Amino acid sequence: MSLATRLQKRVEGFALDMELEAAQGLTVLFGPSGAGKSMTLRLIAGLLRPDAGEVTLGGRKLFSSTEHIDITPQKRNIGYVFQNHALFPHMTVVENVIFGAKGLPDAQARGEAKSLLLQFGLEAHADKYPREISGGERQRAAFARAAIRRPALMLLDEPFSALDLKNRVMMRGWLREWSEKFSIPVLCVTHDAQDAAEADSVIFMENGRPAQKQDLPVKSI
Amino acid sequence: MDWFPFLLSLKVALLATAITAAAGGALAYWLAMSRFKGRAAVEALVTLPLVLPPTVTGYYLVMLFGRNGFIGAGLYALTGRTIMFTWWAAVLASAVVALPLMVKTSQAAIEGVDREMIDSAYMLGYSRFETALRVIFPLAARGLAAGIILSFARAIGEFGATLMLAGNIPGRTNTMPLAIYSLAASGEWGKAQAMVLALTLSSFVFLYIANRFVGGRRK
Repeated sequence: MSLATRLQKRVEGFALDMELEAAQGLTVLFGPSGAGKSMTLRLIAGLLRPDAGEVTLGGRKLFSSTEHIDITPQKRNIGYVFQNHALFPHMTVVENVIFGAKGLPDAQARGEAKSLLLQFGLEAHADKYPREISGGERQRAAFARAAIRRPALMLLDEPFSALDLKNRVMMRGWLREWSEKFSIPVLCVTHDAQDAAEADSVIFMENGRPAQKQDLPVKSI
Repeated sequence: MDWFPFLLSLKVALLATAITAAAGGALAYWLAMSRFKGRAAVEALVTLPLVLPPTVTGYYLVMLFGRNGFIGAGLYALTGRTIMFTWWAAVLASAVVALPLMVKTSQAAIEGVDREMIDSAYMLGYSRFETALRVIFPLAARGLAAGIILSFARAIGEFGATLMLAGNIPGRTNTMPLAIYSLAASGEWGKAQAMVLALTLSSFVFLYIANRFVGGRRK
C-alpha cells in the first residue's frame, strides 16, 4: 500500500503546490509552521478540495481533477488523528474507540476496542471521559479510535506535540509497528526536528512547496 | 377560574415549541454549516419576527395562511378548511414568533462545536446526518436546550400574532394572554388577576425546572 499525491490549492494569500509519495513506514512531513503541512493532510483526507491534482492510495484513485473523481472523506478509508485529538467529550474513552468501528458488528467492535485499549495501556481508563485522562493518554485513545477500522493510510497532525519524551518514543514505536503489521503508510506532520530524525522518510516543506526530500536511514533509537 | 385558556395556552405553547425546536434546529444546522450566496438574507428573514411587532408578523401570516392567502388558498382548495381562527393558528403564530430565538441560540451553539470534532466523525465514516445526530447536536445540547426554553417562554406569552391569525374566540382560541386582556378590558380585574398569577407561577416553575436541568448538565 502506498500513497501518491499531487496537490494544488490556492487560498487567500497562500498557494500550495505539493507532490509527495509515502510508502509503508513512518513518513514525516517536516517544515515550519505556516508551511501548509496540515493543509496537505486535509487535502489528502478530502476535508479540503484541491483546485487541481490527484490522490492515489494503494492504486485506488481518491481524487482526480482531470477525471472528476472526488471520493468523500467518509469513503476514503483514511485514519486521521488531529492535533487536539478531537476525542468526543460526551463519550467515554471506550465509547470513542467503538465509535471508530463503524460498520463492524457490535461484539467485534467491543472486542477490537478492548484489545486496542490494552495494547495502548488504556484499559484502566476505558470508562473515563477524555477530560479525565492525560494528554498522552488522549493521544493514544485518538490513535486507537482512528486505527480500529484498519485504515489504508494513517494521517497524524502534530501527534507528538503534547507528549513528553518517554511517550514520544513509545508512540513512534507503536506507529512503526502498526505500519509494518498492516503494511500501510503513516504520514505524520511535525515541526520538531527530533521527530523528523526518527522517521523512515522525511519530506521537507516550506511555503506550500516541497523544499528538499531526503531519507534518514540511520535512526538514533 | 376558567381553566380553558390555561390548558389551551399550555397545549399551544408545547406544540409550538416542538415545531420550533425541530424546524429551528434544522435551520440553525443549515445556517451554521453551509456557506452560500444569500445566507445573510436568509438569516435576516429568520430574525425578522424578533424585530417586527407581533401584529406585523401576524399580518404577514394572515396574508400567507388566510383563506385567500398564498398558502391558505391552496389549503382551502384541497381540504375545504382554513387554519384561520382555529387553535392551530395560535400554534402557527407562536411557532413563527419563537423561531428566531431557537435559530439564533442553536446556530451559535452549533458554530461553537470544534471543527476537528466534526471532521473526525467524517473521517470515521459518518455521514453529515449521522454526524449531526451523534456529534454536533450532543455537543451543542446546552445551546439547543436554551433555545427550546426561550422558545417556550416566548410561545406561552404570545399575544399579537395570535390575535391577528387565531382571533380571541372564547372556548376556541382565547389563550391566557388573550383571556387576560379580555377580562381586564371588561373590568373583571379579580378574574384577570387569578389568571395573571396562574400564568406567572406556571412560567416560573417551568423556567426553574428547565434551568436546573440545563445547569445540571454543565461540566
